[in-house]
Parts: sequence; C-alpha cells; structure tokens
Amino acid sequence: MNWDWTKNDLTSLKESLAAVLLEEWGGPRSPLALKYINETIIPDLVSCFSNNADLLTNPTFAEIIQWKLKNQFANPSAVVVDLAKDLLKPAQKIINRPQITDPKEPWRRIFRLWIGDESLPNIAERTGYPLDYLDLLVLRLKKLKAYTANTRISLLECQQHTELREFGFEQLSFLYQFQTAVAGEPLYKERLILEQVIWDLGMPFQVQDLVTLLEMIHTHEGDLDEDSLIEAFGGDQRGNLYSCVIDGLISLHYILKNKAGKLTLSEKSAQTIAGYLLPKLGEQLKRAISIHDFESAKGILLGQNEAVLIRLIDWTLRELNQEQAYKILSGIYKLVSRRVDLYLLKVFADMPMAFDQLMKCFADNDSLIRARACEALGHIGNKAAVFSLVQLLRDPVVGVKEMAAQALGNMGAVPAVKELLRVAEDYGESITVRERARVAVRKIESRSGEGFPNEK
Amino acid sequence: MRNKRLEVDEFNAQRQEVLKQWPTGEGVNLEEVFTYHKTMPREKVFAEVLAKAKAEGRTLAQPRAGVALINDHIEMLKYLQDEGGADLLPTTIDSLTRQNRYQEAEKAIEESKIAGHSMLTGFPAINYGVVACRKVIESVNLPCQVRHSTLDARLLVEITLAGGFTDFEGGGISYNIPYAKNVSLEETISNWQYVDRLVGLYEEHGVRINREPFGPLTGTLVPPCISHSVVIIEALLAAEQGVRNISLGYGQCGNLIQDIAAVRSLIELGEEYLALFNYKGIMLTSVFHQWMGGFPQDESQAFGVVSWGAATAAFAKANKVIVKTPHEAIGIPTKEANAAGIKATKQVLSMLQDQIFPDTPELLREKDLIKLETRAIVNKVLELGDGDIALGTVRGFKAGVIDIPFAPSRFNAGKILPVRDSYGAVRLLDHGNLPLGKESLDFHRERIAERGKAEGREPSFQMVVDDIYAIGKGRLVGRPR
Repeated sequence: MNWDWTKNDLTSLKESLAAVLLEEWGGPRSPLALKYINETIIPDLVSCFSNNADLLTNPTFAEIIQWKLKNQFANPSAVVVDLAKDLLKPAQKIINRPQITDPKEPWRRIFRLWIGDESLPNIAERTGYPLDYLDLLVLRLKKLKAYTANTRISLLECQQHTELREFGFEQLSFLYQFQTAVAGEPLYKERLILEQVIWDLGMPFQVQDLVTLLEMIHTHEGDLDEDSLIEAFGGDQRGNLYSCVIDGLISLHYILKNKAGKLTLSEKSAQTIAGYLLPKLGEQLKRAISIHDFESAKGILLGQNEAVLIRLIDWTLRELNQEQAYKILSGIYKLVSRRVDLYLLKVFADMPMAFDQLMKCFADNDSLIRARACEALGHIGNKAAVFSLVQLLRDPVVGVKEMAAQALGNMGAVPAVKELLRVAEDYGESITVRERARVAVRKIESRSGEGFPNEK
Repeated sequence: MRNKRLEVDEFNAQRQEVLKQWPTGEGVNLEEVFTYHKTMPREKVFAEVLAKAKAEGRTLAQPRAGVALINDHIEMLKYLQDEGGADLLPTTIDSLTRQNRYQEAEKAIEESKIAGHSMLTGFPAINYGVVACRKVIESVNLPCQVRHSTLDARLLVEITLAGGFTDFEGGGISYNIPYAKNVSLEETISNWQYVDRLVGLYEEHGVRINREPFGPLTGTLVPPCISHSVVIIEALLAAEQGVRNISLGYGQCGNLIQDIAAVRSLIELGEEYLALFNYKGIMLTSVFHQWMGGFPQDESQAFGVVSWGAATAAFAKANKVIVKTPHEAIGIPTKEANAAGIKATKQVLSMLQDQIFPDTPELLREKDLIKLETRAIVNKVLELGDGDIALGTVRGFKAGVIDIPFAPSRFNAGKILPVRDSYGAVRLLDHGNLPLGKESLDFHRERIAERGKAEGREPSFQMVVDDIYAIGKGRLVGRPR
C-alpha cells in the first residue's frame, strides 16, 4: 500500500486547513495576518501533518498541535484545544495511513532524536513540534531526574509528588521508564540511535540487522566495497534491500565511501556501534593478556576504528589492572593518530608509571602534546618534573605555558615560585599565563603554609 | 436586543428554566439566600473589602485557583490565605462546567475521588451545589470570587451567589469573543443580562455583590482602548440591570507608562460613561491582571515577570491585582507556586505602597491618547446602536469599530493588528475599522516606524509574533537577535 500523500491530498489538506482557519474560525484578518496565515501557518501545518501522518489521531500529537497553535502561531490558550481538533479532522479524513494511538509515541520520537545529540531546534525542525514543547519535555525529564537522583523511588511514589503529577500519568511513566532505561539498560541509548537511523532510512530493517551490517564494515574497514558487502549478506536474495540501506546510510553520512570506493564507518556510527563491539573485543583482549601476549593485545587495539578504540581504551581502564592497562596503552602511543595520543595522555594522568613517557613528551614538536603532558604530570604530582616544567614556562606557545604554570601549582612546587612570580609580573606575557602563574603561587603558598615576599 | 432592565416576568420565566438545568438548581431559595448573605461578616464581602482598600489607596492581591475535590479546594484556599497571604480568594471553575457539561463534570468528580487528586481544571460548583459552596465560603476568612469564562453562566451565578460567593467575573463580550468561535453576541449579552439582573436583585435586597468584566480579553497584545471599551460597555450593561459594584479589569501590556496610564484612565472613563447614562451610586474599582501572555519556563525569570506586574499595579494604584505564578509556562500551578506568586507580589506592593509615580508629560500624553481612543470607539458603538449600547455592541463588532485582536470568534472582525513600539507599548500596526482620529493614527504610525527603523525591518506579522512570545524568551520587545 502506498502511504505517501499524493499531491492532491496535500492540496486538499491545504484547502481544508484554510477553510478551518479562515471561514470556520475567527482570528486575525488584516492583510498582513492573512499573508502570514497563507504563507507560513498553513504550509507549516501541512508539513507537520504529513511528517506525522501516522499520529493524526494520537492524543499527544493533538496536544502538540495545541502547543503549536498557542506558542508558535499566537492563538489564545482558551481556544487551542478545539481549534486543534478542527484542524486535525480534515487531515484524518484525507490520509489512510495506519494510526499509532499510543500517547507515548511522539515522546519516543522526540527522545530518540534527543539522545542522538540532535539539538532541540533541529528536533523541532525535523518533527514540526514547537520548540517550547520540547524545552518543557526536557525540563520535566531533568526535574524527574533530580527528584529520583540517588534513590530508588518508584513510579507510584513519583506520582504522589505534586509537581511531577502535573506531567500527567502517561508522560510521567514514559519519562520514568526512559530515564531508568538510559541509566541502567545496557546499549539502550545505542539502540534508540540505531532505531532513529532505520526510521530515517524508511526501510523494513531491524536494529540487529543494522548492527551486523555496521560490525561487518568495521571489521573490514576500508577493505570492502558496496558490492562485496552486499555479496557477504546473501547476494541477490536480500541484495536490493541491502543496496538501498547502504545507499541510505551513505546519504545520512552514517557510513562513508573512500576514494577507492571502499566503505568505512563515520565517527557517529563508530561511536554507536562501539557499545555492541566492546564485549567481544574486551573478551579478546582479556584472552591475550591472560597469556601475556601483549603484542596480540596491541594488535587488537590497533585494528580498531578510532572512535571504537577510544571506547576500548576506556574499557581497559575499567576492566584491567593499571599495570596491564598501561602496558598495552603505552604500546600504541604514537601509532594511531594525534587524537588518540592526546586521549592517551589524558588517561596517563591517572597512571604514575607513565611519568617517563610523559616527560619525553616535553620534547614533542606538537604544542598540544606538550600542554597535555604538563597537565598530566601536574595531576600525577611527581616533583621530579618541576625543573622541566619551569623550563616550559618559557615555551613559545601560550597554552603550554598555562598548563606548565597550572601543573606547578597543582604539585605545590615551592622551588618554582620565583619563576612563577617572574611570569606573573611580566607585562610582556599573556594575561592568561600571568593569571595561571598567580593562581599557582597562591596554591603553592596555601599548601606550604608560607607567604612569599614578592607576591602582589 | 436592547440595553434595558429585564422585566420581572421575563426574568422569572427564564429563571424557572435555568434552575432546572441541573438538580442542584433546586437548592436556590432567594429569600433564604438574602438572609444568609446578610449574616456574613463584612470582611468576607468582596465589595466591602474593595471599598476599604480603595479608600486607603491599597492594592489587594488575589490568585487564581480551583480543583475538583471540595476538601482539596478548601485546603488550597486556606493555604493561599494563610501561607500565601492573599487578600482576596478565587474559585476558578472547571472547563466542563464552563461549557455547561455537568454530567461529564459529575463523572470527573468521581474519577478524581478514585485518583485522589483533581481530574478537572477547576472547582465544579454547579455539581456540588449551594450547601457545598457555603462550606467553601465558611472555611475561609476572606471574600471569594467566582472566576470562570462561561458563555452561559446563568445557573452558575444562581448557585454560587446562593452559596455565599460575593463576586462574579465575566461579561457577555469578554467571556464570548475571546473564547468562542461561533456564539452570537445577542445570545451572550442576553445571558449576561440575566446574570446582572440577578446581581441587581441581590443589591435591591441589601446584599452587595461585586461584578468584574474580564479586562484582559485574549491576553495577546490588546491595546488599552480596546479592553477599556469592552469593560466600559459591560459596566453599562451591568449598571442597567441594577449592579452597583463593578471592578473594571485591565491586562498588563508591559510598558510601565502605558500600563499606569491605562489603569488611571480606566476609572475616569468608567465614571464618565456611567454619569452620561445617569447611573448613580455605583462603586467602580480597578483590577490589574499581571501579564496574561506566555511566561518564561525558568522560575526565576517568571518571578521577574510577576514582580514587574506587581510593581506596575502598585504604581498605577490599582485596587486589586490578579497574581500569576512561577509555573505559568509549565502547567497548572501547585498551591505552593501560587502562594509564591502572591508573596512575591505582596512584597513589591508593600515596598511601593508609599511611592508615587508622578504625572510625567509622557504619562499624561498616554492617558489622553487612551481616553481619546476609547471615547472614539464607545461613542461610535453608541451611534451605531442609536444610543443603545447593547444593540450598538452587536453592530459595532460586525462593523469592526470594536475589534479584539486574536479573538477566535467569527463575530469579531479581526482586522486590527497590534505590535509593540520601540519602548514596548502596544500600538496599532493595522487599525482595521476602528474609528480613530488622524492624531491617534499618526502617533501609532510614527512609533511603529521608529521601531522598524531601529530594527532595520519592515513592520510585519512576524514582528507581531515576535512580540507575542518575547516575554517568554526573556524580553519585552520581540527584536530580532
């Protein structure tokens, strides 16, 4: 069955909405207002109704239209319930698409986009829902989160709370379940993101199918072209569907095609799929480490997409002891990319055994590496780094000098005070460096319990 | 359709039908009711409290509130009285009662009892009846007003006044044009003549009942001359039926000078027109509604809006201010939020009690402009009605000489388009068929052109929309960012 709206349907809807707004109901009728109704309000409603064609009888969608009329199109709040009803009636008659009457469905769609890091204005544009409504929904989620933070409050207990009760039971229970699932259900966020991708593709595809497809691309990243991938999924049998899905994913920038026509994951898809890959990859890593095969472990890390690798680095910190983690992570430093190196330096800040590695970074040509190393050493607090850090107060790059000063302050380096005071009083120096130097001196002073005569 | 006091026979015939609309109507016995009211302490009679505040130059604070279950309603009113420090109390009626759907209201009361909280947007006074209304009144120490927006409020006024309420909001125009899409003014003016006649009857039996036309109308950039015209017309219609205590309402626009000028001119204009028709001995008081449009969702920002309304009411020396809450943008306010709104308002009222906003040239010019424009509209309405304000109102709306912006009614021309000037005062971008003089129109045009120039854009409907939502976004004038 073809569920798309025909051109005739849209014309007919436009005429019906105009009849409701301009004949059946009163309202502004000045020439400027009529122009706005015809050129802005009606096209917007037509677009919103056609984008939500399966929600035309949904009670939450009706409420959203009321919000739209009140908060977007200047209708007094006293009339929006009836006006929305009258506007939805012709659309319901014109469209023959199966309807989803579950009141939670529009919220599901909103939060599926929201959890995928879409901004609220983007969600408003994509769904046609008013921004104020989205704002309120997110505000309510935050209120619920604050109320239930660090407690095991049940939904029924939330329902007894005067302010939360105002959300209405359906919305409160939706938000409660959503928040509970995000906090405790593994891969819930990832699943919602993939559901949204499938929704955007508009194809009969399951989340697990998409996961398998993306895993396959990840495993053979940069090796497979579209044809060989389709072949891998059963050739002609489901080939058309996979071909359409791959084209769709490319147009959504969810997968990328390099110059040689080979497929790779995008940053976003790699981040999403990482959650599904971690258990398997983690298992492989553990196996390699259990037999002290650190080369294989290193190989596993180096075989990953960058976004997946960063998630895997986090995994090693959580699941392995510090020594093991440092051994395999230090092995991949300078072997992947600058982004991964910077991330590793951040991770090394919690590993005292990384001291020598970090000290070597001071000689790096990359100022961000030098700055990140200063930061990490400041965190570790080993005073053997003081002399080098003092030298870095004369680094040509402001960012490095800032971090060196901050690190000296953090480690309470009394011998650095003189040099820090020099920097603080040097009017030729950047304001931010001088400020960091002043803060560092204050920190050292408070830690050592002494005052320094030259400090102003 | 005439502005003429209802004949006794006509009123009684109607009354018999009205009281049959729902079984609780049978509980109204006027002779008993008059006796009941006469035993009520003066401090619980709205008009008495308003008269005292007027004499003392004080501004009283009143919230809006109403829930389905009577005990919860009483508890909430007591909370607003004791914790919030309200000077006057409301009872907001639920939306089903407002549409005369009493059967459904009955069902919702039962559902509320099962749920343990309100499943209605207000207090279903008709379903509860006279005795229950008296329980509400007797549970509190302050006067109570009925607030609703009912097109046909004849049974509601019968039951609530018999139940001890001493103030009744609304009017045949102000509760029709801003709320209904297809109800004629003939019908609602006639229904409200009944309401006013009943109040007149109470007055004739020595019972003071205050009436309050609803001034804010659509709450959407309503120029003062429009809301003034409507409430003055409703005051004249009420006075004809024997009403003797009338509060004229006005909804805050946001510009301090314009709002003060509006409140100060309102009573002067009201007295002028009542005198013109020789209605004597009528007490007029003013009601200032804090901002009726969209509120910021952030509570602190909302408190800013509430407090600005309080400051304006205090400087304008309004006799009463209707208080908003920090939860306006979020939903139906809790009693705590309602009390917080009252407290914030009363703090400002108290601080400004002894301060006087001087008659600056700008204020006087604004006041003169509002008077000039209101007179132009009301006089034209009278002219169209051949001296009869009821007939003139029907004809005036048809001709668009009185026209409420953004009203959903098909009986409203909808030709005017308001917009703010650079200072936030509401002006007319399109005056439609309003019978305003050249002086007024030039002034509006100049002020709007000044804003257009400052913003580098032609005044348009988008500018109007920007203004409507500006306060919700933390500003008064909807300037492009």
